Amino acid sequence: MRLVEALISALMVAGLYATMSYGLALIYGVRKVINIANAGTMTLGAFVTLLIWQATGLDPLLCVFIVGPLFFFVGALIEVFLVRRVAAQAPIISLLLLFGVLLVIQAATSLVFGGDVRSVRPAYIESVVKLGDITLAYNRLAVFFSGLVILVGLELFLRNTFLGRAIRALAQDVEACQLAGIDTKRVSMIAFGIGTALSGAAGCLLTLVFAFDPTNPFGVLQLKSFTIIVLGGLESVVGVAFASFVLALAENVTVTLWKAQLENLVSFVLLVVVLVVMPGGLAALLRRRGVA
Amino acid sequence: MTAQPPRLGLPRWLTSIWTQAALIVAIGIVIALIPVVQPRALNLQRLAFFVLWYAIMATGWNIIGGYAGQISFGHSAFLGMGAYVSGVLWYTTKIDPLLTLPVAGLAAAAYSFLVGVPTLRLRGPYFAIATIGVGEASRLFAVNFDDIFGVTLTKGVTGLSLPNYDAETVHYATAAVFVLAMLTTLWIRRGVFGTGLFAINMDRDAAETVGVPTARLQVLALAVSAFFCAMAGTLYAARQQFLDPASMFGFDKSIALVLIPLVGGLGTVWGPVFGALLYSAGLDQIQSASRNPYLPSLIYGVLLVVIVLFEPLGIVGLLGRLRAPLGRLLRPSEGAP
Amino acid sequence: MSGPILVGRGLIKRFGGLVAVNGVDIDVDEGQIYGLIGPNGAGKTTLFRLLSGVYAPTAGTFELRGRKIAGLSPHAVCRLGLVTTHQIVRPFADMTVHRNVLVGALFGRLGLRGAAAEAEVDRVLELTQLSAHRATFARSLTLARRKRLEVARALATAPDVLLLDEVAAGLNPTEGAQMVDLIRKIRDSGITIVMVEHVMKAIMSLSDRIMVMDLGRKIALGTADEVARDPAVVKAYLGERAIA
Repeated sequence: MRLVEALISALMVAGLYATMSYGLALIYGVRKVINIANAGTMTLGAFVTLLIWQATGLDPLLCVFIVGPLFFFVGALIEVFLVRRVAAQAPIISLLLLFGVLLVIQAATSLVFGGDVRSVRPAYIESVVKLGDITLAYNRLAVFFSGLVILVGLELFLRNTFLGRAIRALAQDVEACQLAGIDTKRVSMIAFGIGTALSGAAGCLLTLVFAFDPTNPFGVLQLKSFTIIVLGGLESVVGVAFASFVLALAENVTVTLWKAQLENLVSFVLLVVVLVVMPGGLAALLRRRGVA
Repeated sequence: MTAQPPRLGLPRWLTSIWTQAALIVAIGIVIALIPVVQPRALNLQRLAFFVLWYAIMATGWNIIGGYAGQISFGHSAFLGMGAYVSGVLWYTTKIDPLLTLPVAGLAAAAYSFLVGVPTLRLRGPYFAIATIGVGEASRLFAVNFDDIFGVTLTKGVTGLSLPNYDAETVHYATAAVFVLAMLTTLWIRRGVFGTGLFAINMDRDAAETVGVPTARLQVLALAVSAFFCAMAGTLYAARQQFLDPASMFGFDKSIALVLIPLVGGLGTVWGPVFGALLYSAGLDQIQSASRNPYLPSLIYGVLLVVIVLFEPLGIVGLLGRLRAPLGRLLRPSEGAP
Repeated sequence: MSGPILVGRGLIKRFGGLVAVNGVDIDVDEGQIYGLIGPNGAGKTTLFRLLSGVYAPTAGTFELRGRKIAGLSPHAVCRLGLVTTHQIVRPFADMTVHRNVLVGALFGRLGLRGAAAEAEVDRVLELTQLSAHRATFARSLTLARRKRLEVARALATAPDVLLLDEVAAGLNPTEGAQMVDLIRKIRDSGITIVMVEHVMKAIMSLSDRIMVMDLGRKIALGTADEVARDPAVVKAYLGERAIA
């Protein structure tokens, strides 16, 4: 029974981890840069959700439909005015630039909202769902399903629309895309926009699960999302979903079998180990075994 | 990435390694004299300490980050390591912390070796991301050290209170370590080691094919870098007499160590010093003027974006643009080793 | 000239299921120019990377003056006296021409220091006709000069054997002729050269011996005239595919 509970609990957390990491994978695909500002836009998404919720009482889950489009433009602007300008330079330059963006967003959020810990608590926050012997928190369930819906939606988008296929093609080979007449600048901009929109959406969902301030717990989650996309093979949306589950399970097992304080240590150690011993992440490992 | 500026046709003696070394020693002496000349200006002494403290660490960071181009977001690991090695030795065995400066430095260098051998094979952004993991893992390790090993040494999040120590002595030691760090970075920059690091920075594979032992040089650069950050940790322990994982291993310290050399001038000898001056002194001024703790962070973020976009050499680059004699003197020269 | 300086036996390199180099033997005599040709995908560049230490061979041995070098890292191979240039030139873009070459002199086989290193840099820049550009940043050189810089940087490491990977590719006829001259001068200074080249004119006129590769195997070996007449070579180049 404990095994089942651990698995389910890991699944719930995984939905959350995956939502915040999809955008990273998407942006990595087109610009080959890890969007270190992801945590910043996620935080901002959470605060915008808080604002909307306080003003209108709109459910945070529905806020996704406001925050998403809004953040699409934020991301597109960041791509056009900042990232694009250094795209020809070494990838580390883009990373430093986005790091600057992260500092600006975090500081600006702090300036506007103050450094206090906030939370969004809709009426159903304490509700639980019982499945036989297993008790599930309603909010976690909602976040999990949202993560799942986003995964399915993203995969459908990437596989079945022209734009989605262009984004995937761009991740594979920039030159071939240019030769094929794809407007790579526009596609990059849109991918960056979608990536940022996803991080904003993750911000909405996270308000349901965590209390937050302008720097926490998003700093920790930021690092976890790095672990996830590195583990997932950097570009694959399915890889991200799978890696999210692996990380959540590893944390769960560590906490149950060893020490609760070490939960976060798991992801950092995993991050370094994965980077060093299997640079292609799980996706490459699976490919090599002929599984995927 | 670290664009080296063209020669400015300066007299050789002005940019010679000896003139620069003399300048470093002179600055060290002037700063060391502050408590003698102004014994009651405690604020000035405090400011001087923190400027030098950041300058020492940023200079260390610059050797791996600026020279070799391997940007680390986890250097607080070495700062914390140094601080805790000296701190724990001090209160368990009563050894004077300043005597353990080299011990702390070597301990962190050894740790950097452990961390660097695997991670330095990674390139650019991957190394940067891995170092975030290293920094945070180190912090969590420090927090849980006592629990894991069943001892009472680091006292976890509570922090470690240390005996009193004479601030003036720490001041002199800090000035001395600063001079040592600056002379080291100057010597590396102008020497064979530095040339190798810059070659790695620009193209690691090409450097490897023409005989540069890239792995070894990078690991060595990281060790030197860690050595100075750890000594800064010891100095902090002796001056502040309180250590806790959140401030010593904090991500904010790692961030500061990226920002300072970048703002000052990545890969230049004097950049980290300007950066530290702006960061430490500027931080104090802005914070006390605006009473807003978030404003400095906002300003540094904007500065970082502007620098990456427009002036990769930071303050040093701007000074060089002035074409003033001062600016010329401070620009890193394309000198022969 | 004396005996073989480079000896490779049974060199194999696999990438997953693909065999890029499949059991190649190679013997290069000291002081020769040894050409390596073959259609695209023949395994020339892979063989080069095996020789220079970028890849470790899946199987086989490789010796430089009787010292095993297969599996050593590139910088170690360089310090034993074998250096390679890159097909796509990779100068240190933000360093001056002078400093680019200096890196080779400092870290090469002799590990020169101070005035000796400077003298070597001057000599190499003179040889490669780059003296006038010594203070220019590498990123602002023309392609032809960047290619010569690539050679200059490699020469400064004081190699016994120089591997040239398509140094004439992309050059106009005048620049190509200059490069051919340079390669002859280098050979005349006593350095053994192994070169891969697509520009047939260059390699046919320069090489003392030519190895022809196809699909990872050696299919012919001899002087330029010999290989040009070899039916296996003609078949590989024109191909049954082309005829069919």
